[in-house]
Amino acid sequence: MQKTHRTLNKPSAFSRKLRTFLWRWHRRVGLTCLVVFLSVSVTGVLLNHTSELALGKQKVSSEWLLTHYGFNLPTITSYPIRGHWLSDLGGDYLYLDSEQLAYCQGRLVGAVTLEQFSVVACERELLLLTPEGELVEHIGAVYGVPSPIDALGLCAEQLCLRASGALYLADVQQLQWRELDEGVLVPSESDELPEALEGSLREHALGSGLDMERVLLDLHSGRIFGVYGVWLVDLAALGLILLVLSGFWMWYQQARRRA
Amino acid sequence: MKNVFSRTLALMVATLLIASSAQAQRGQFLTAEEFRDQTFAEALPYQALWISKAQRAQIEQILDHRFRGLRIRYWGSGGQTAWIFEEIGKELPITVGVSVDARGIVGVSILEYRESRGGEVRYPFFTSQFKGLNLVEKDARYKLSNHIDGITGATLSVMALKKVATLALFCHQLSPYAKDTSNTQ
Repeated sequence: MQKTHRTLNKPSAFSRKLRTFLWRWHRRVGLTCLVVFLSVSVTGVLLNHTSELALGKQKVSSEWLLTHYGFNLPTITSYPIRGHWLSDLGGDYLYLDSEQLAYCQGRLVGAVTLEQFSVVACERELLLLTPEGELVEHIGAVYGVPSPIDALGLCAEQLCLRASGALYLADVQQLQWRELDEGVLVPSESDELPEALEGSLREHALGSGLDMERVLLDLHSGRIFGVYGVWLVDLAALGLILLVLSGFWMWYQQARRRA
Repeated sequence: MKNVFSRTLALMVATLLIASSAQAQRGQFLTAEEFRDQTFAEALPYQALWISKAQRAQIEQILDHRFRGLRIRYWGSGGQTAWIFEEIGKELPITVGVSVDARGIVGVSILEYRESRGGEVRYPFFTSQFKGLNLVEKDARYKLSNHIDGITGATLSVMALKKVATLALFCHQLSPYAKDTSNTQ
């Protein structure tokens, strides 16, 4: 009777071959999909706790990721004036420290501090600011400002600008622009912003920007790597189904033999 | 075949006509100096009108948008002033010159028009409507003393010009030349 029982539980040759085949592929699929499983599991756990971890409020600052998502990283040009920083973030407006100051036509090309005013030059207009940084007026092409301006500075201690290769003495009170036959322009020099202010302006320029929740969602779905990433996660999901089915079959065969 | 050819030719001619008409609307018609020379007999220097916070609020009410700046340039002589303002019609600024004396608006000139449509506002049949208009205060808002007839297809440009004309009258009364009525005798 015992012998009969043992004969009944002994796996057939086909069963043994199938088991070996399944073990081999169970291992291969598991190892192949290891990285995707880990990524999907970890991001899944994090996404389950989006609110507690405030993932939607955490801004991504990685330049690589921002570029990958198609954000145009601002090129910030800054000039120091009277203890403040005047910056152009590549848009239509200038910023004084972190506050939006005024619309200015063209990119920022210079800023000079005079006794009564600070004079700011964009390519197609000048701005006058009070010592406190308040806008006094725009001086645009209608007032005959030579343009495009490519530098603003001093020529022998007098306000001077360079436009289309020519130097002009600039009288911003009487709005007169006298071309100089000869002269040397000492241009105002841009400088690097303090790190904290630069970070704040960059964040401002990127608008609502990119948050961590978006990145984790795209990592979870594979979308962060484009169409191929989605296919990869789909294949890994198929692999997981295979692992579950093969694992269950192998457990079931072993359990039946032991019974 | 001949029919297709003539249709294509007609389409091309129509496109060219439309494009050239749009181009004809845009342009710089006067420089600031030419506008000054039209208004005054001599080459006057620029004056500056400094704006207080309360006045800025009134300017913003006239323009219906924020006004940045602490001073406005103008020319003035013998009770007459001339102002240049830029105001957006639909998308781009229109540069407008307005001269004012004690009797009201003396003239309105378009210095530069940048939009592709609505450039009819520069013609005398429209700008002459502003002559002699004054500033009136109605329902706590500054307005022109008379109605201005609009132009079909140039509604926003017309609105921009009305704002600029009102602003010039408002600024004139703030200038020291408003007290001088010598040129109206």
